Amino acid sequence: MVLNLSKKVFSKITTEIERGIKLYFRNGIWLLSDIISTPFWVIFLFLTIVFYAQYLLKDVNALTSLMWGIFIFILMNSFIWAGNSIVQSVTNGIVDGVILTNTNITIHLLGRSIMSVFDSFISGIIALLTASYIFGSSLLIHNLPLFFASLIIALIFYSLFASVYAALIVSLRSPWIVSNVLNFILPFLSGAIPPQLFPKSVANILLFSPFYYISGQIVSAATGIYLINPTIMLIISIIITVVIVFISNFISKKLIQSMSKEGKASLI
Amino acid sequence: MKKEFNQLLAILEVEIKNLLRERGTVGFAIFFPILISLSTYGVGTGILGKAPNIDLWFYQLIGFTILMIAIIMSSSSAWYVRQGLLSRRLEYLFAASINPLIIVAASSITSGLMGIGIFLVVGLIGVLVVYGISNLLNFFLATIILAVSLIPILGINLIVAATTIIGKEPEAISQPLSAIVSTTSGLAYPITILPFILQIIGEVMPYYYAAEYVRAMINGYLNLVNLESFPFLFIYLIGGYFIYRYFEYNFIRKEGNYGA
Amino acid sequence: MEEIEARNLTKTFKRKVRVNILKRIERRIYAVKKVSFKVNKEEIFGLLGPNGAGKTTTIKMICTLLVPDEGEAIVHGFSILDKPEKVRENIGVVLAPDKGFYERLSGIENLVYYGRLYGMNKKEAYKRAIELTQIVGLDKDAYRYVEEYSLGMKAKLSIAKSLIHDPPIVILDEPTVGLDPISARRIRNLILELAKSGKTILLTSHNMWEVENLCNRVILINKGEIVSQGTPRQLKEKLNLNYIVEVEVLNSEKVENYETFINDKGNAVIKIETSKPNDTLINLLDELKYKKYEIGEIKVIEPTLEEVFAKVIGDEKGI
Repeated sequence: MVLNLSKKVFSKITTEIERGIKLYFRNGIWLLSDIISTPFWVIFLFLTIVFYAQYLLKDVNALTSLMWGIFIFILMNSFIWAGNSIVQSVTNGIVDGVILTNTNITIHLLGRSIMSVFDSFISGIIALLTASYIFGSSLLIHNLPLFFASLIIALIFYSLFASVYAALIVSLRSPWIVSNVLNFILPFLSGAIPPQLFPKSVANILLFSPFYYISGQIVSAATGIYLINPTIMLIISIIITVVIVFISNFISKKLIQSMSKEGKASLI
Repeated sequence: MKKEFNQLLAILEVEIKNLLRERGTVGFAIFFPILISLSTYGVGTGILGKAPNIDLWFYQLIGFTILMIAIIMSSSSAWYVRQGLLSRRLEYLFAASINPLIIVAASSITSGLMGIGIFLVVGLIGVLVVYGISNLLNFFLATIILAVSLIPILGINLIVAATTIIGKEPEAISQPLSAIVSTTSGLAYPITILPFILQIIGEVMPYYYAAEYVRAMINGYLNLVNLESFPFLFIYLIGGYFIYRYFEYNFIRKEGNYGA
Repeated sequence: MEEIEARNLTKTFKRKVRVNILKRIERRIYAVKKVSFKVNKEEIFGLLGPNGAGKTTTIKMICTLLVPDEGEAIVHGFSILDKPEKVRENIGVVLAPDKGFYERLSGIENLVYYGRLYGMNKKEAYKRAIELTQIVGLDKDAYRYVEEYSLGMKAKLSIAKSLIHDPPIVILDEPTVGLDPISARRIRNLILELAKSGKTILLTSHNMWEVENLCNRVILINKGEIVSQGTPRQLKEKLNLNYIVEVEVLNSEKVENYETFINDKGNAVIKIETSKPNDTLINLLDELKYKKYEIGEIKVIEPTLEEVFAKVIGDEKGI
């Protein structure tokens, strides 16, 4: 029976992923939008951050760290916008249809997340190439296995984060405003600004942010600069990811409860 | 003209009422430039080991406020068209004895007014913190300058609305515009540190002038020489009008592209 | 045997209503009040009522999309409160014909998607999807993106979606709303075929003629409460509505003591409104025979469900 259930769940997951991939490649305009806007965002972020310390434009190490910081900014941005589009699924009646099939909403949200994975991958590559070309950042990765492990953990974490975020903003009239703001706040909490640029006492503040262990780990693995022991960082990132699995499940259930009790999707 | 003006006022009233009911949205829009400028100021403090000159914070505060206005205006126009397509409301509008341009323009004006409101709150905080009450008159004059500077931006909004008719995805249209504007318009940093080609892009868009004129006015050094390029930017308003009308006729009325 | 049994279903909503710029108050909206009914196996059962009567809220509770505040329902032997997942396995639902689809997927792809979510493997889901597109008449457009579909096509696709997992019960909320007459007729025929094939159908509609011709039994809902229930004929009889009796009198232009009109054959037709058509007809025919009139065509026109509806709802509103 357990095997049967796992088979069913696996089948639903593959269905959602397949749906997500199909839809991503059919929305050509989004691909084009990413290709056009990513290089500009990279330049904007670089120059905004070094505005107060323009001498950093000559420091390759700082620029390389910044480049990877922008890479994770793009990753997070993609999943935040995934959260926004999940809201549309609710208003379009698709979530009702999914509930009627006895499918866990978190599984359904995976389909949207897969689109973000592709989006991050394409935009990420463009960002790395732009930063390397315009600012001279280095594309060499210090610890390849850790880099890929932390990337996978981050993709899982942010997929679930997107569903939590979507559940929280679903009842807002203009969720895009929250998304725009979050786009700027999260990078600061994630180590997108290279912590080594700050005095240790300031950098250590990041250790209190769960996002740092997820996103900052990617930057550390790429640059070889660590605030804490990489093994400890990896363990903490796995624990945080497990926690968000539970949070995501809980929030999804709460949202469905709200929909079935109040007739509208709202957690706020 | 009187009829069109009355129609515009009627829609503006409804749009503004609608907007005032979105207190959360307005609150965030005010909060955002303050938050982001303080964040970058904090980063600068962290990197330099000491607090940078407060004028630099103010520079970015104004820049981010105008960036916020730009994002709101372009996103609002794009979403207005998209929601109109999805809900089929645009069909009724296009069949009504009202020029649909008035409707789109009203939506843009509303977001522009919201932008001015944001500027008044955020800019006032900045001016008081940095200059005290001494530059207050300049600040209020700068608000008028900003309002005039937003007029060419209405033209860009019409182009965004027109492109959304074809592209249908509002964020896919407004995102690249926000990216280009943010990068090239001298909002968060001086335009002079950009590569030459990007400087040119910035200097042909009205956002750069909006930020420069506002900063110049607050600091008391705006003069007619600064303003000589500005009238040419009204080409955006005229161009936006014709582009919008072309798209409306060829892609909505001719192809019947009213729905999603 | 009942496929659906609703017992005292009740639902209230709390909505915050702005009184002035500073104050909002909470209002309770009583959407459904103690609604009870039974739907027999292979029956077509209709919920009729004006806008805001509580039909959709009732349907959503039966579908387990809304949890009732009081009462419960048993659907195909399963409680909506205790075993909602079992209920969902046994129902197919159409809530809004134009919603619930991915616009950038084709009709077939949407059906396969939902089929797989219902637990079918890809091959089975695809086969079933093809079959359903043929049944509903979408076979030529099955591979087009849903964003290109007209409302009628989306309505057909919605019905196909509700049948993808072959449920014994199909629940349809206004299935023909907004459709052209030919598409609507197609949908109605489909509903009849589904019932003939052994499915139990619960539907809501504003179209009285449709309900009258499709449904075995009907309930009238107004302001969240059932105001009348029964077969369409029983509803009419309960309310003592008038039938119209028409008797053609050949080779005459008028008949003594009766008001007549001339039909297109040039004959007089006696028209009488009566709540007792049998008695009236017998008496009239006897009298005409006695007076040596020649009788032609005889018609007895039943009151429509629309009249029933208007009478019941009108009385409720004091009209």
